Amino acid sequence: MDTSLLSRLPDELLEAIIYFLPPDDTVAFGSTCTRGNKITHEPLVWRAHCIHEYRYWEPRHEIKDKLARPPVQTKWQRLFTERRKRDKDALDLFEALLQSQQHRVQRMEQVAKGGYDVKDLLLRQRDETPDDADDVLARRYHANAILGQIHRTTALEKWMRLQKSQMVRLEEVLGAYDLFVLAGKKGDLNDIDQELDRIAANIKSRDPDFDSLSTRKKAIQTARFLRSEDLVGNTSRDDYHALRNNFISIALFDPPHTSLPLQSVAIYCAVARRLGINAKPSNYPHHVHAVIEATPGTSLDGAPRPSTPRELDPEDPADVMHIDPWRSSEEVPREHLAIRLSQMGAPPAQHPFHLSATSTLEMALRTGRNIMNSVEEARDRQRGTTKRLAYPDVESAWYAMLWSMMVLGDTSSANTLHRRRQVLPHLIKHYQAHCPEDLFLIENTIVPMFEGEREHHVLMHLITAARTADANKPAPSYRPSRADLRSYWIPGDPGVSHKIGTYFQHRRYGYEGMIVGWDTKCAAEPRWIEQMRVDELPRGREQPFYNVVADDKTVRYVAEENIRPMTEMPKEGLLALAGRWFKRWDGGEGRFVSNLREEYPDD
Amino acid sequence: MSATEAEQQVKLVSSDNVEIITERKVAERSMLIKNMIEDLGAPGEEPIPIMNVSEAVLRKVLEWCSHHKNDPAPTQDDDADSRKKTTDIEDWDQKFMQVDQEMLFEIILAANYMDIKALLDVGCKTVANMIKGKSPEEIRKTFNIQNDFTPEEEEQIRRENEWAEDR
Repeated sequence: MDTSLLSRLPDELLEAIIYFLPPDDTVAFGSTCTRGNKITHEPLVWRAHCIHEYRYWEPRHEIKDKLARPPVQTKWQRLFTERRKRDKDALDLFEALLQSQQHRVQRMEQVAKGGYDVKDLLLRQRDETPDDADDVLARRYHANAILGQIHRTTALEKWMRLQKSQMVRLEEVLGAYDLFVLAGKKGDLNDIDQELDRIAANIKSRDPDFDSLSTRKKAIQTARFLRSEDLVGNTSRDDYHALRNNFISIALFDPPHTSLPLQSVAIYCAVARRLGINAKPSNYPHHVHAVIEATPGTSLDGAPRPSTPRELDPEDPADVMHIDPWRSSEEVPREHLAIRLSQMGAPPAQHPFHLSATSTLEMALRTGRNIMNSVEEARDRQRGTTKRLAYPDVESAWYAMLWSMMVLGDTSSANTLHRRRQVLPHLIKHYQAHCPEDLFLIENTIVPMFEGEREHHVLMHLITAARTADANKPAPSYRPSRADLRSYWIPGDPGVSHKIGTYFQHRRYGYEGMIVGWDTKCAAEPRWIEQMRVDELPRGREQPFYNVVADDKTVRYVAEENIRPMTEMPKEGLLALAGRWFKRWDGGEGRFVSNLREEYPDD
Repeated sequence: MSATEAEQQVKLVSSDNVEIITERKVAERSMLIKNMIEDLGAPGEEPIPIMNVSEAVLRKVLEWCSHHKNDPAPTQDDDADSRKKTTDIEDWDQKFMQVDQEMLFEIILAANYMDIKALLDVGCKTVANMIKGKSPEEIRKTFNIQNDFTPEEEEQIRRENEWAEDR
């Protein structure tokens, strides 16, 4: 560097320049000469690259701790390099799975195994792929699908911990439901934790004397703050059962921040615990309160208590108090709650149970049941309309509920098995229709649950069939040739009229959809043909039939005479879905560009 | 600093012994000068020596200070973690930095010595932008850097950086 003017700068200034370089340019500069190379090895340089390039890390990196320690204690450059290599491998797999249907599920699993170490990469693929990219829809769809896999894997881990009575926090168990509906929005478990930390710090910073307050005062101040920020409760009471109210992250991040009492109390308890208050949700019927218990040696009002260990007296207002943060920030006297219990017909002997703290498992199961109700209500509301709930997605919420019911135990192992049996067909149906990439979750989580049961065999068969289908190239369906057509020629029949990727409206039912497969004539089972009265159609069962995906995500089989092709650009919902089969929308042709060329080489 | 104080004139002396008179407000973009004025107590009377900066460079630096004299003071929460790593430079500064390399590095050294953080950043970003997107060989050419690696070292560096974009 001697002859260079740049060499006049001392190391600290060269470092200041390097600080403004992206990683690849840092490397290029480091490859110019010995001094430049030495300077680019500074740990601070690579610490900055780690922070700026990556927001998400697998928990094993303990990135928060690393950031808190002096920079030299961490091999930042190595960490960065490893992460970059991981990105590169994952991106290669991702490109390959976009190219071919063969091994697609297997490759998606392999990418998803990277967990939070590939989340940034996938978010970039999803959000930064330009609109005019050749395979824009496929890229966005599959990046989003793998993000979903990663989130669902995390959710199931949390529920499995709960099921095995391992340490897991209430907000994690409830946030696990959110992981199914997030679709890359803000609100994963890290986001929830950070937000709760921030809220707790905020409450503390508002009152310099907070630490010296009695538990009772702290508890009330916490409720006041949460209510003043609209983070608990529901200002639009008529929408009590709205699906969104079941999700803790939506209550935290999405205006108008409404939630069910259970989620409000969970937020309250999580914040309270961060402030040293022992708060837990109650067992109350049709509602949830926060039960706050005194800390050992001190009453709720700060008075000293006998230091010998003793049981808390649930009847003693100095030991236990109740708050209903969903309704108010004031304390609810035990007598009021007892009166209401009696009015509801609960015998006095059961009052202590309803007024005491409940388990995290009970809260999780209750959330599952609430989601089931909300989904059914939402489906009723949507029936017959084309208006869809944008967020949270109804089907994803349903899938979350099914998984929680599958994983979480019941009062006895017989009851648990009974419930799992009930849930299984619904869960498999959803997996097959919407999430074929979840094969490994079924394999690893559900199969062991049915060990020795009759379902085990069926599941194994299903998995083997799915693995085989994924490992092989799909059999190609060629369009009928002229010679073929001649052999069963009907005057004016052009063979299969519509191509893969055609966007259409159903002539009789009015819904919109897209063509993802075809048969030269109806290939359904005779029973279906009979049920659907195919033979009563003017062109009968000998006309081409199409596999289509409708705008409500359902898969259907439609006769050619009912397809009315459309050429204008489809709506957002259908576009987001289309990436599973297609590369992009071709405005010129008025059709999706097929990504199913192995299966339909002529389309 | 009151209005009259701001308009006060101060006398600076460059390393090659040239006196330059400028507004106190302009000169005080430099934390070095600001601290010296505060220490001296009687600004305007005694000339302030800027020992490491020649007349040509000092005039250039003061031109920048004059243009930016009304900029808000830098905020204290200059947390390296949250600081954006952008190399965007505003138009006026970009034109200001269109100088030969000799002057560019002199400005960076002067900004560092005179403790003018914002100017130092502009200088470093300018150099960073000259490096960005180039191959090692192109960077060497741009700054006239001698490649002093042995072939073995070069091979090792190439292996270490296999993850990076090939240039």
